Amino acid sequence: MLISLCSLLLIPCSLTSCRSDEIIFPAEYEVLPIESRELTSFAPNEPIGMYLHNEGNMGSNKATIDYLDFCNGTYIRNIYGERNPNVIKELGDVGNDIQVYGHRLYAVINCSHKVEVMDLRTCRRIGQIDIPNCRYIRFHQDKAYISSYVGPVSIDPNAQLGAIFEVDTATLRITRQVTVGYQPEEFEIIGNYLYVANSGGYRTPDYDSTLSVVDLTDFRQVKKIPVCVNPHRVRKDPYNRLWITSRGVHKDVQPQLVLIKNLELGIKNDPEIQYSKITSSEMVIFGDSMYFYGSHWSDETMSNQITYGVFNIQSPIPNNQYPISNIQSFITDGTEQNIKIPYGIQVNPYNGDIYITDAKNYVSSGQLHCYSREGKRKWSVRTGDIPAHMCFVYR
Amino acid sequence: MRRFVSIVFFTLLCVAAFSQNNAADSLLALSPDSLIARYIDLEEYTITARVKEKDIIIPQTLSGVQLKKMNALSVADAIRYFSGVQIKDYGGVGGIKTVNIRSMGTNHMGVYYNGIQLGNAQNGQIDLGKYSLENIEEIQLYNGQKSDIWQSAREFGAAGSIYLTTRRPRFAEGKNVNVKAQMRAGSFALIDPSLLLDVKLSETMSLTMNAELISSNGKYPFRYRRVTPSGEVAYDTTAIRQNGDINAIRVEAAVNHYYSNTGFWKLQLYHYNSERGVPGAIVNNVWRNGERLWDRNSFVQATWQDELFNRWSVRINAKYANDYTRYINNDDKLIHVENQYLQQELYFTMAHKVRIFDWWDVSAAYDLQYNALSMYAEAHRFTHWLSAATAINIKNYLRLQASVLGTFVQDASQSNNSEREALNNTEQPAMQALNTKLTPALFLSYRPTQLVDLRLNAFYKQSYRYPTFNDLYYTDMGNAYLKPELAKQHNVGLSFTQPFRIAEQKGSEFRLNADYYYNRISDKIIAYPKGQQFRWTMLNLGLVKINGIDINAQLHFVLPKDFYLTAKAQYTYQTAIDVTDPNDSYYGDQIPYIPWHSGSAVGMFGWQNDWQQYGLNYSFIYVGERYNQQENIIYNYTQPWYTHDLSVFGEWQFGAKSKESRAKTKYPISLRVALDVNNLLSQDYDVILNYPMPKRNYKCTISITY
Repeated sequence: MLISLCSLLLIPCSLTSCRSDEIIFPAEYEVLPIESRELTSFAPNEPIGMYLHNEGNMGSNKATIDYLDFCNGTYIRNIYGERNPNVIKELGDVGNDIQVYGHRLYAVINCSHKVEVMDLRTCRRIGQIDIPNCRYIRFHQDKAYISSYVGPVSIDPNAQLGAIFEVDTATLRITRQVTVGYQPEEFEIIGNYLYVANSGGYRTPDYDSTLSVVDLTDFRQVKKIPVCVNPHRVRKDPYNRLWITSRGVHKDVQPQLVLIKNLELGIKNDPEIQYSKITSSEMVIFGDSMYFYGSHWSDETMSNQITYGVFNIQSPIPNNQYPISNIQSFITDGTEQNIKIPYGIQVNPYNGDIYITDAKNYVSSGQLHCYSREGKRKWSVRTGDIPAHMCFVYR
Repeated sequence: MRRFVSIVFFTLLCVAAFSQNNAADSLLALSPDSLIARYIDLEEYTITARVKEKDIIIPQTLSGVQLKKMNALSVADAIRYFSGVQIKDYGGVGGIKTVNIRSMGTNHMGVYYNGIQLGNAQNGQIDLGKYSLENIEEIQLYNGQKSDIWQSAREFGAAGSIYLTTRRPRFAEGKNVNVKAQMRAGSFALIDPSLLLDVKLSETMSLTMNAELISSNGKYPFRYRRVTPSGEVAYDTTAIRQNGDINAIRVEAAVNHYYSNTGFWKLQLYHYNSERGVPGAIVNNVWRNGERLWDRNSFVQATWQDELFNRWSVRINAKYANDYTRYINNDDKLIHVENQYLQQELYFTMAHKVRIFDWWDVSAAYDLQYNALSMYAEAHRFTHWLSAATAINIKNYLRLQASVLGTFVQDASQSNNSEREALNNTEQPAMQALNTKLTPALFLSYRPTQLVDLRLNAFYKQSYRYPTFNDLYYTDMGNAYLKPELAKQHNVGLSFTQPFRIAEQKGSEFRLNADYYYNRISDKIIAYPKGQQFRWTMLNLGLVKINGIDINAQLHFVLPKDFYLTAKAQYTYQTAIDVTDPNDSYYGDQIPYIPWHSGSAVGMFGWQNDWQQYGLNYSFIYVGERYNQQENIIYNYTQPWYTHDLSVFGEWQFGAKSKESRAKTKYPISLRVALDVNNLLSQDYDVILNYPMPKRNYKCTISITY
């Protein structure tokens, strides 16, 4: 009897495994159908690589950075983890932005409350800037500007305003800070002014709908321009105009794309605002072309309505509306059916290749798709969780 | 007093009737001559034996002495020793602990407190870490449903059921009061005093009161260590868990009246109040979290049951529960959030059973429940359950039970407060259409021969998991058109019991249970990404197939010279495969947090005589490798964890040392001291990714019983 019991116990013991040392997550290399080339064959304005920032689901600590190497034609998943094995608890929780400035790479890690600063070529960590609840980063004259959901503690804890932090890129120290509207998101700098979209995203249904204008000289909010409800993206075009997306209000107001003109007339004059009926979630301006995709949920069909489009930003806007039917999709081979949730877009400024990421269900690996200018899919590759933000590296 | 004697007498009769073969808990049968111990042991012995008689498929049970020896803090800690169960544990005394049986999901689990289900209409999850073992006498786990047909309709509804039964007061001859005072203290500044008082109001009526305070600062060191593929240390850091403190108070009172051989009523009050920190995930650059949670759970429940005309059994239960939750996010790096929720539940059930012949019973039950959620959002739900069941017992060879349950759900809701105010909507919520579902169940047990106690069991059961208020109405995310999720269970198994003797000592026993099961969960409610940003919605999209084997074995030795030794082991092998959509990258992968292999082993060794006993308990829990997200890839891999726990105890009865003093001291005072070491080898592990568990920790318990 005892023997039978013991043997019964031994069966699972032989099948199961023991705990071993926990090994840091390795990088994975995948070869892409891209011709490998000598570094010297790249033009100065031709990207030699692209970093892709995977956000990772909140609480999972799975923000990662991947690298698309145009020289070797490889895709490297989790390059940050491989290059920085000694960073405690890896890159962090929920990546929100990635940008290049000078010889450095800056990744904004929202729920780790920091901006990670890395060497552009090696992806090795140089340092970090602690910014609470940071969202997006832009640069201007050796200063980094970072938007943050939380400014100084207010008397009413339910009405906490956001802030823009200014950081010296040489010392990685915060130099100045200015309070703006509720939950500021993206921003751009034109001339001496910074324009930031106040979303008020946590104040549903009382969203914010303004663009704060910050004077960089004395770092002061000088004006608030009402633009559209729940604004998110802010992009400047070559004509110093701003394209702003509205995320809309759930069920009630559709997301839309808004154009702001005449900013060059100075802050004393009201800019001209043109509203379109385009639903844009993310966009990229390439020359005079605006590539965008828009997705919104339809309660009728219980599915996501997704549009992909490209239009000329100089073409007129009749009746303050772009006729949507005139906008062409930049995907022409029908493969958009395979994209579940488009979550990031970038255009190769040298050859016009379009990169689109698919976040799938947010809690599994995403995909990066490359399309030619003609809208034909060239290749696809598996990424980390929630691939979202991309930036290029040059020689 | 006559009542008590008759109970003991009945007990002895039962023992004789069921013979040693049926020893439900042989641990209890071993006490040699200790007078008091024998009283209690025999009582418990029969209770389990009687329950067992009704059960077609024997449940996994932890009761009385075994539970006491485990010395676990909460129900969740004890349930880990059952097979087929997965626990989600966020760590520490205050960390949420939920149970999932056979991979079907927490929401398919019914948890019953003295026969009445504990509810959480908001998210459908019961935090078993909140339920103290202090006043619990028995925990039973049934796969499928309790296979006794005399039950409320709602009890036929869950896919798996946990029954928590509180201690029933028992008085020694001529004694009118029982008192037990206990103090527990240990790591994480744990202080856990409790007091228990039983008062005999009359020969048939008793009052029992129990109060407990739990306080812990929740601070424990945890360690994250990683090595590079070449074996060098990449990082190795130890920190202290913050914001995991808890202060909780629990007060219970019950009046029992056993007015006849068949009838009794019971009224019970339960109140739990706590404040705790939510320690949160440990991620890069974040070692502290600012979330706080207040819980207040109160309920009053009443039961009456009797047998009329010798054939007709009636039971009526009623309950009112009031649960208040307040949540605050105080983290200065995050947006301030404060939410309050109030849930109320009214429940009534009436269950009848009629014995048509000695071998044939039929039953019918009707339940009505009203749930309301208010403050954060307004939602109401009326649920009616109607059940019919029959049980057949053919000469103890074949037992069969068939039941059918009709569930009728009607919801009404309003959006959350702020939206309602914004829309200036003060109308009463609109009722939605009645949702009607029928679910059958069939249980079989066959005993091929009376010579050995070998039973072959099988069951098939369907059950629905209804969408919770959060699934339906949570801001932006809820989907009022959700269908309930369907679970189909198929199970075949066997159970075998063999008593034996060691050196003429009776009571040794070997028991073995083995089950194979196949479950299929369709229309599984999953969060589905919705267009922009992090908006989600709930959809009936998932399909999961689960195959598993559960094996339990127990070997109990009654050794000469008053020693005993018990060894228990359980093992589960499970595959739970997501087969929702072949285009998903995780199609065919094991679902998150379900290990392929898991098991536990318990060894208990002890010695006892008339006035003292000593014991040593060792337990081992193993949870094998698993993945923390849907895709089974290296980035989601989670290592196995296994902990060793050790506990020693001694118990002494004062003034009972010799026969003479025993005759003098009618009601001796007993003292019990227990020392526990948990996670003996100080393993650093996460049950849930980024929620580190405590390293080695200690606990000391002193209790005095009169």
